[in-house]
Amino acid sequence: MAEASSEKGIWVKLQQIDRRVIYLLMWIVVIWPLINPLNLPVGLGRQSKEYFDWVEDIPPGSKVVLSYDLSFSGLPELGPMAVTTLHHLLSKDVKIYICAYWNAGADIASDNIELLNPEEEYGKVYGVDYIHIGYNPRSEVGMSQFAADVYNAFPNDYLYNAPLDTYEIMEGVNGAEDFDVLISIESGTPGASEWVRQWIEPYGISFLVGALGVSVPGIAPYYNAGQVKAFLAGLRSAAEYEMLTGRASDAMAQQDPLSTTHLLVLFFVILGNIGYFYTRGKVGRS
Amino acid sequence: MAWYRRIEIPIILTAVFCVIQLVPYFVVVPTWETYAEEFVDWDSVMETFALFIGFITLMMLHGRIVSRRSKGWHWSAWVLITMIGYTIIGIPIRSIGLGRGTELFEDIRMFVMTPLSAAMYASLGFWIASAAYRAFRARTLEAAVLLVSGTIVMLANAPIGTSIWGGFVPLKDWIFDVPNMATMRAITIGAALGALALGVRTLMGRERGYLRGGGE
Repeated sequence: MAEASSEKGIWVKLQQIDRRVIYLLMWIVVIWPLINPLNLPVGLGRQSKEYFDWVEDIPPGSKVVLSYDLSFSGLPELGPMAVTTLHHLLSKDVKIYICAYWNAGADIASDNIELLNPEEEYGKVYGVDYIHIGYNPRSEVGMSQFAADVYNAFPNDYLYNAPLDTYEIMEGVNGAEDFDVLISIESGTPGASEWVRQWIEPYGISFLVGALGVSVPGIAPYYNAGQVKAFLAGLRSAAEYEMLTGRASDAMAQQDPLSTTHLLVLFFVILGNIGYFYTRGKVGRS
Repeated sequence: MAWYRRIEIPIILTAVFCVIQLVPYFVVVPTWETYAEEFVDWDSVMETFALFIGFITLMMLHGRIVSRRSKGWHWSAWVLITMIGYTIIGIPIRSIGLGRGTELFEDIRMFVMTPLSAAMYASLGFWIASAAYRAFRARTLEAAVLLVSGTIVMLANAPIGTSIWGGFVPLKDWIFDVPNMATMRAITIGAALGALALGVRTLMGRERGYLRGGGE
């Protein structure tokens, strides 16, 4: 009787592991592969290939808006996407208009520009080949404003605070109808849904999205309807995109901890279910 | 009641400005569109005032907590210090090292705000691990389906999963393309219809939740 009770206690304990144990193990499986990389192979998924192909096929001379709709908290997952997208665009013969609808986005974009150093590394000129038009705090209303009149939505550029119409890159640009592609690296609201409402449906511009893993299900209807042409889905897609562009960086470095943490979570889920099924069976028989 | 406090005034204003914004979507009238765009600009002025009111309200709320030494007053004091401090640091007077782009402002952004925000978000990972362990039990058929689909998506997202079996990726793509797509489309259309109904009710003055709690 006591033996049966003790045996049952083990299965109950399997369902009640102290959360501090889980936290400690989680911490170990994040740190350990960062110190000793496993270098597991990262295969290519459908989404990252579509996204890469879309950017790759943007015709020369196109005008591309790259919107940094993210905050510092989303940076570990979205930062690599943003850097790689900017790198990919700078490698091409396109005009790049960088903006932000999240307050931290404008500074993150500035950091990315500084990191990539377009003048030295890509032979691009600020105000001619690319420009940082800054942050608009008016969310969806600001997107509508940008679509109607870019000079009203962003009077001055972000890096030098000079009137936007003094830059060569702005020649012939007034509103949404003058752009060819819009790319939003987005954390939430305002993000893909708002762009679809204010830019994609009214003006029919090609739209690409880089999203947090948790936001991806919300993009599905827009992708299915053709409003979003391609998207990057979380850190895994970001790593694949880095591979495709030949610039392995932060996202690739985070792939091993991604694997180990996912395995740990699965291990605990399986453990909990084994305990649950065993005790449920015992209760049923008694 | 004074005439300017009557509930009809904000309702009429809301309805008028809603109609001004709605009409250009259906009828092309250049003059009307000019006015509609002009009123969009008004929004930025109002939002700036709202931000200012928010700042003052926070000051009053936390100032009261600090002055009364209520429970947790030191947290309120910290809110006030950081809020006022960073506001001062953000004032654009470059000659004395203040404003965006200056070393002090950028250092706080880079070495305080960025790691703190990232750490807050990253800490969710620990919580999710613990929550998944406790909540992901196959108690019912629906829970079992959720458990299996969640496991497949997790394994497809992690390189180790695809190293074990490449079949996780097409399975994940199917989950994304079919059940997820159908569900999210239903949710999106449902939310849009709800927003439409809310808009019509607001236009007609029947939705008053945004007016001082909806009371008369």
